[in-house]
Amino acid sequence: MAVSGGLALWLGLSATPDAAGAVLAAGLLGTAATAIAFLRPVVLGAALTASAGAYALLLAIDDPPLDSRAAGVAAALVVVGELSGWARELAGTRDEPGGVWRRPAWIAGVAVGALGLCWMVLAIADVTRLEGLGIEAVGALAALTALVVAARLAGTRGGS
Amino acid sequence: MTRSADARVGAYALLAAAALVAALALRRTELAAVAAPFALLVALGVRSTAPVVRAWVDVDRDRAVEGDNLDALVTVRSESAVDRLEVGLALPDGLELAEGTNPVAIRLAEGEERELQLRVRCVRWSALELGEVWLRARDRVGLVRHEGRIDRRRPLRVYPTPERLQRLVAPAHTQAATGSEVARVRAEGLEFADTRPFVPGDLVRSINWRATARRGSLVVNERHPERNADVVIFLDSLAEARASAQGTLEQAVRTAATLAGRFLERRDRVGLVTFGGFLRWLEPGSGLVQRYRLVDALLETGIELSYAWKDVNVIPARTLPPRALVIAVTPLLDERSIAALFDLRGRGHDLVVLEVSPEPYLEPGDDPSDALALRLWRLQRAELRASFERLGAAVATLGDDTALEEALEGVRAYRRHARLARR
Repeated sequence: MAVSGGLALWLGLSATPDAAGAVLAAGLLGTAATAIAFLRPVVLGAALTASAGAYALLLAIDDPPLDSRAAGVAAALVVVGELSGWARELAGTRDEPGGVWRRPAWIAGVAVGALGLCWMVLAIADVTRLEGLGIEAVGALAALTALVVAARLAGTRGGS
Repeated sequence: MTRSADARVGAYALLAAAALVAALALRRTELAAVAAPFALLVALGVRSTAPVVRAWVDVDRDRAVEGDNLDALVTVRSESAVDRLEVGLALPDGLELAEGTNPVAIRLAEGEERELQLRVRCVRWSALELGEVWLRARDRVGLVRHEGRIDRRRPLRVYPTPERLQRLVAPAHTQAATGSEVARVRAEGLEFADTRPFVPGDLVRSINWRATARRGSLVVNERHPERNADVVIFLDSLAEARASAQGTLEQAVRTAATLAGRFLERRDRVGLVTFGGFLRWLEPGSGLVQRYRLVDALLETGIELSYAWKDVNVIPARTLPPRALVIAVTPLLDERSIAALFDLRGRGHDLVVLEVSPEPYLEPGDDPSDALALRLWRLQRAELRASFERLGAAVATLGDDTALEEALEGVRAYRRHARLARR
């Protein structure tokens, strides 16, 4: 709930005055739905969609150029979803000693992964606009991916 | 194992779909970027396959007494790696966890075996089964769960704790076999009864030489023999008063088990009639086997709702031998059992009524009419007890503050007076 509320607040504060009210309202609606989702997990989809809707409103009203805040929004929404699932797991079952850290570590990893994936998509989208260093980075990444795939294929054939 | 999706699958899919539609509608790439991690998570999550998990349960005993702790060892083995496996041993009513974590979430590598040690406390007498294990497996993404149940149940009998009891109720009549009860009749025995003039056939060793010297003619001692008695425990299970986990039936069964055990120790023959929705009976018998039979029969006792009218005619005649002491353990709540007890007394059985008081389980309302109703109800019960006593049946009340020993002392006192009155 804190993450969802923080996201709503962050989006509301970073929006222009024209969009702030609507964005904040949608964000807080998402926070309220997140609270309900602890009792009724089926509401989680609506809660996440409402929070994402706040960001969509911001984009629609403010119409900024390619917005890097999307990565933060995606990571926050992933954290909200995963924490909601973890809360339900904790309500019924306790982890064995030494296993408590696994879930928070996983959530942190997923959040970082979501951040990276989102940035990658934004970078690809930005390539056509920025060119220069961006296109070089994408090219380098593609070459690296090709090398990794080739190495794995070679390893597989060698093993068989 | 049954596969089911977590609420997050639907939520993530909904968010990804909505964000992609909004991205197209608003022509904003950012929304597609927001949808990407959720679409990836759903794609990874639904690929989860069911692990092959086996489980075994070992319990150190199959018989225990109320209050005992049992050690249960749950062994879990998985053929494939499971990131999160929730293992729960189903604890039936009457058992509670004393030590350990149940359910617990563990992580198993491929082929790994894990032992989970649990200590279980037996809180209530019962005949139950222990060994049902619930499993819930999730992979690393955790969006899909696989649930299963492994049935390793084995019977477990939790016997009621016997109450402290030093003296029992002496039966009015004894039987022919040797026992521990001093009979009223005169015959060969240990307890001195009286003296009488010698008649031919009397044993020389029974001559009372002192009395003979005083009277100038042969006088012999008469003695009371030690005989056994037939005791039938009449357990009323037609109705009970209950508040949460405790009720009159628990105390009634505990009392019946205590009495049965103590009478059997005295070499008496003890039988059982469970007068409830289902009539159960055990013919009187003695010995250790009979003790286990009785306690096992008591453990099966429960309140079964029945509207059928029942009286003593439904009880097999062999179960109620003549001259048997009938000890009724009853909350005196059901008219059918009350009528049956009056009928038993009317047929000449030596009857003792141990009333398991339902009052501790009552919660009278605050309304003055509720208080009045409670007073009337108490008066009715007092009148009922007086009715039994007028018929010569002793009534004692077992309550929260009245131990069985104390209640039986009341019965003994009443029976002493009743005997004097008969003389």
